[in-house]
Amino acid sequence: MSSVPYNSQLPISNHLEYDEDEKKSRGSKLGLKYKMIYWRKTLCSSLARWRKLILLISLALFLFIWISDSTISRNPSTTSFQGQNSNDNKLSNTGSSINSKRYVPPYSKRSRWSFWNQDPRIVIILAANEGGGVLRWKNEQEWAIEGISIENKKAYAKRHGYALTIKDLTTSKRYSHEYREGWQKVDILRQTFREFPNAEWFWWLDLDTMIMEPSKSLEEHIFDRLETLADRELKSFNPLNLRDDIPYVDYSEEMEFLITQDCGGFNLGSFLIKNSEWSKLLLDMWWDPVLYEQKHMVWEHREQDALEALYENEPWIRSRIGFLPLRTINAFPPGACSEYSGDSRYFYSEKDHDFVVNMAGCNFGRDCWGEMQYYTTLMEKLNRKWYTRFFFP
Amino acid sequence: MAIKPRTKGKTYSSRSVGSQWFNRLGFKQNKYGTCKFLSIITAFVFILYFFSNRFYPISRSAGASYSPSHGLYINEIPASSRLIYPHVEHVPVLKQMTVRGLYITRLEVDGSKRLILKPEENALTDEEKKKTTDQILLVKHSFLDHGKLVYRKSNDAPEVVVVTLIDFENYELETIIQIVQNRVDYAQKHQYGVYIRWIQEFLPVLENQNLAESYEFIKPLVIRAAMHAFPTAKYIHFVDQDALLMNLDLSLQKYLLDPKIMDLALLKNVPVVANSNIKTYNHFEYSSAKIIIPHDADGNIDASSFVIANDFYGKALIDYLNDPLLRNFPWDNTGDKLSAAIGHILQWHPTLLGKTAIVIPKVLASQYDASLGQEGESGNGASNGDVYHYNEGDLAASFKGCRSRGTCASEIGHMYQKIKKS
Repeated sequence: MSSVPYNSQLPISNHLEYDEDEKKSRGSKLGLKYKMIYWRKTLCSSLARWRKLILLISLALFLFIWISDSTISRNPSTTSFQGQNSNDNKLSNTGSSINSKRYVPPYSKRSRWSFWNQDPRIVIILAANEGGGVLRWKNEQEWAIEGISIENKKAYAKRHGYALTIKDLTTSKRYSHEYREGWQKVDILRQTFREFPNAEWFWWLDLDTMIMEPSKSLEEHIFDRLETLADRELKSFNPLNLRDDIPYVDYSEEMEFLITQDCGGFNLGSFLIKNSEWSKLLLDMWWDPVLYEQKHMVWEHREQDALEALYENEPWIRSRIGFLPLRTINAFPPGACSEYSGDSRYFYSEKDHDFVVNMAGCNFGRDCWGEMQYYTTLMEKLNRKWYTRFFFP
Repeated sequence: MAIKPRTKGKTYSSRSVGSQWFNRLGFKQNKYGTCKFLSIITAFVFILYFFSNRFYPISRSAGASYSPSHGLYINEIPASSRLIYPHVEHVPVLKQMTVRGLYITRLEVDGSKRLILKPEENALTDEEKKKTTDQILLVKHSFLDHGKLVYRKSNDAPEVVVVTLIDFENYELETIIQIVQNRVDYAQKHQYGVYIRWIQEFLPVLENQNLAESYEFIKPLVIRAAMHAFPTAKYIHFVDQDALLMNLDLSLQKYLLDPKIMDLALLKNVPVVANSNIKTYNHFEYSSAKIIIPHDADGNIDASSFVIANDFYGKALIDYLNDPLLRNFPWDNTGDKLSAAIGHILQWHPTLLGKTAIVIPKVLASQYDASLGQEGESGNGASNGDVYHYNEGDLAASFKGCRSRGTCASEIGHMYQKIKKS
């Protein structure tokens, strides 16, 4: 201001002149300009006047968000890095595998907005067309269920930038012999691994499932809180009464296979498997004629039972399996596990906004179409926003 | 521009009363002092934020803490040396006690008797050892506590561990000493570890507790124990007790893991087991060899001396072999059961076959032929230089089949003298 000569013709800095000018040219273009300049100036001056306060508030806000964010997702107060005592001759440590291990999140934090990277991080595998009408007619309700289920997964994958691949489960001769009937799922998984070599995680979903909360991404729902969410031992929940402690199991390994347990044991209707060398080896070792020949009369749930047997006896498999609570990715309707009704571990709860409902076994004496209709309506109701009724009355 | 006068007045009046200490800090020399101070704090917080992000990855939020990995016994003892072998001098007492005297026997529902292993059992402390005068009890405890030894020093961790099983029931003290001394000599030369256990230590783990019938399937059990006892070791070299390491100068890394040598030794495009349609791969990445195992003269897998990597591939094969469903399968009785099981796994699981180097026997387990030895010049056991039979300079001589011939002790003794001479 001081540099401007007193007799300057610039009206900007002079309040009195400005007022007069405004009176003169009310409504004209120039008046609007003056008005804008005036408001800008008052805003600037008030900003400058309160700059300390603004700085202080934003600093406090920033600190608050930072701290609350780190306590929720990372929980640094309860951290215990195990590799510190590597030079001691200590027995509590299992050795090299954890000594140099840094914590890496189970997925890479690549931005969703990176258009230049076309490969999806997460691939949803939807097993559709079960039976394929080979042994009996496929009725229109089954067609409708298929349509609804596919549409549900498609919308979810689109929303979060995941890939969706729909795999055909037609009964084919290749799998029809009792020795081979369960191999199909493993073959599909291995084929999908080859199809998406750069994906990080695969999420297998049976057809009779419904994603009830499409707004939740798998990252925030599962992977960000995997360490607290997943259980790696059977101590708290062991429906099969498997041995809960076998020699040589090393829980310092990363979890690469996330499954759930229902009232009858392992449930492979919805599970996550990491794209890794270990997973590929597991998919290869899952089936062996020597094991299956001895047990195929006992293993009525085929690949599930085979996996249970491997888990029971082989520490290399047990070391990398994590159990998610059933309701995180595989909640049941009241019809499934009905003998345990009232047990809150199994059943879908509308109030808790469970993520996925799996109408497991609905084609064994239950009404698949009825259940599908019920959960579809419920899903729409739960996800209706206040403005939806303007568009869909 | 028009802001200065107004702010100046206000801040001075409020600050000068409330914060005398602040003036003393020297920030208040001009009217922008508080602002400067705040800016410095803000900049500091931002710097802290960016740097703290760098350090976060180390911290691992443990939702639940899991019990550390343990072997067959839950309470383990740290080993002071990387040469882990039992008290060989106990053989006469152990022979007297027999296996029945070492374990608790439980009567099963079907009337059979089974040996029981107690995983929670604690090792005998030094004080207790001093107090005990009962020789038998001391021997018993030294037998039971031997399996609890694990090596956890990281500064002197061996890269390769030589693993052997010894048998106090069927072998005499002299032979056992020769076997153990041979492994220790070899390991000392190359800074390797040694992991030797009594075969009888694993009997309670088995369903079929007849040693002669189950002998082969104790091998994967001891290999798994060695993997646990030496978690930082890269390779486990299993050598059968009916075999001797003849050329102590050959280190595994230089002799076998070197791509040039492995290329010469590798059997490409040959049936995995005799008459199989599944053949070994033509293209093999030498650096990814996780299992190195020789063929015998008939083209079957020879499990008397082989190398297994101590990572999840090696563990997968060993754990699969230790699965009771696989162990108790009625394998073909023509060869040994373990070879049949490994051959089966390699044929059915291409992922493992892709990591397996099937090599000529010469590099790992040359067969010692007694008849050749007697006919040949001065009984050195040398053949005409084929890849199956032992020649001077080979790494190991295998006396496979000496049990049925009943000549193990004499053959081992004979060849052991040869190493001593050289």
